Amino acid sequence: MKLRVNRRTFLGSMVSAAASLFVGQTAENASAHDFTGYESSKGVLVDLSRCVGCRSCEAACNKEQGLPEPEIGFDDLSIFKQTGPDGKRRPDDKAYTVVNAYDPPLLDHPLFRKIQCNHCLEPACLTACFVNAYTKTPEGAVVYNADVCVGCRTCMIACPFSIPAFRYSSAFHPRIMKCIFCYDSRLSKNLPPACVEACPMEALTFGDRKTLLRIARNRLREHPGRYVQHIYGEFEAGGTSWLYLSPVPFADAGFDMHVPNQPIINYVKDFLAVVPMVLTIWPGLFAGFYLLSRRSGKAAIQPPQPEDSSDENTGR
Amino acid sequence: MARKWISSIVVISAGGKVDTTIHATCKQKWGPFMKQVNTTFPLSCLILLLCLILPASAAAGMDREEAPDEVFLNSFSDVAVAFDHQLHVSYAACVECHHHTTGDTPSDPVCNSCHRSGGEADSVACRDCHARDRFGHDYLSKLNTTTRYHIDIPGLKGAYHLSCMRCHEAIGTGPTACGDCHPARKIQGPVRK
Repeated sequence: MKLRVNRRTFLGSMVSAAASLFVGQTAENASAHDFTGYESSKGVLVDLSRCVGCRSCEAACNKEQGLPEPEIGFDDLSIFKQTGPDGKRRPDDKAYTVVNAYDPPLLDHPLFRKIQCNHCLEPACLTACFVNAYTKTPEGAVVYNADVCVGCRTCMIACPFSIPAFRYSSAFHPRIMKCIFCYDSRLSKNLPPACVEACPMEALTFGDRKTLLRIARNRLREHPGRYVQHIYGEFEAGGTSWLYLSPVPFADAGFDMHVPNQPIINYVKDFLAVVPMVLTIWPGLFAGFYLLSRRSGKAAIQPPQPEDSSDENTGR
Repeated sequence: MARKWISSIVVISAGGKVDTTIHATCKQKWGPFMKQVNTTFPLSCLILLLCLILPASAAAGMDREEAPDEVFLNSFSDVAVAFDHQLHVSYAACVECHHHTTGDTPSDPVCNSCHRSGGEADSVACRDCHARDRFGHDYLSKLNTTTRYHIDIPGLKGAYHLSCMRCHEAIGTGPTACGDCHPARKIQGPVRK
């Protein structure tokens, strides 16, 4: 995981990437590493079978992060009938998390699902950001620094879960708005995020990601009839800090099952490794070709020595 | 409420089922319930005194009749949730809510693999295993032990809601909406103390 890039490491990586191309290796081999997350990375296990759609998490998030008051109050459950452009509500600049209701065919009651940043182990937003506005902290949070952000919104396209939102409403302070795992106020002090603390059903369980995986497997083993045998987020997008258990197939609960099991960066690594080479070597190389061709061209089109000069020399 | 408790104790003595083990576990066993009904200090002393002067004679296990009639759940708010314990005793087995701490052996085969012969626990109150402070260091470090099997015990609030609502939804009766149990439901952020 590339967290801090200084001049030396940047140049070093460029040189090594270029060198690797010259010696005929793939860039992947040169920079091969399997990042499986920080040792003490925290996470949250979301048990969809427990969620009752009370929206306490939304209210707690709103308060903790000082977000604007919503148009529809948090105790108004009619919001589940509300539809956005994609059919369901999505986190935006006014809400870092939203709870949606689904009607899976296997259940006779609605299923509720909380959506927020999943805090990937190798975040696509982070790798897409060319000014390093994103940081994956050792505690597991993916946080954002508005001071260096140039507002290109590449992260919004890169995110496989469509989480980062842009605050278009503010002309003078536009910025990306997304869940930061309550990093500043809670996670950095080893406290659970506000939504977890507010959940009355303990549908959200906070802890070390490794412990959460053990807990999730325990639940799958002890209650095989209650869940589908899958932990969403264990491998999706290279692994996420937020993990999910569901009583119905995840696709029925609105999860994107096309998210690949490797980090998004793996799909562009080869290409990205070529970029420094293109930037450093190509200008010189092609400028050289050009000059060379110009020179030889000049030589080729140089008019031949006039034949009649010899006549002059004859002194006729 | 206080009279109800004294009468419960009297019932125990009249049944002639209290012996020295009850004396020893009396405070542990009934103490949490006493706290839940918010008895005042003198009243607690009186009940304790009653426990001590009661005649000793019989079994240690708690019978259904000995169970409290009503429990007020007030660990999280001054506005207590009234729980009609006797109503639940009338149609549910003790182990359905109390797992393996009281009543017969657990019905769940997973639990039974260890707790079949565990016998009566010292305490049957929810709060003795399900911590009120779910995210307190003590509770988290207790759960987060590699050699421990029960790493997934919900906190007190989670245990209440999960236990009540799962059952009510499954049997299709009983309160499931927030306002059914909580008189004035108000959604607000978590309270940090």
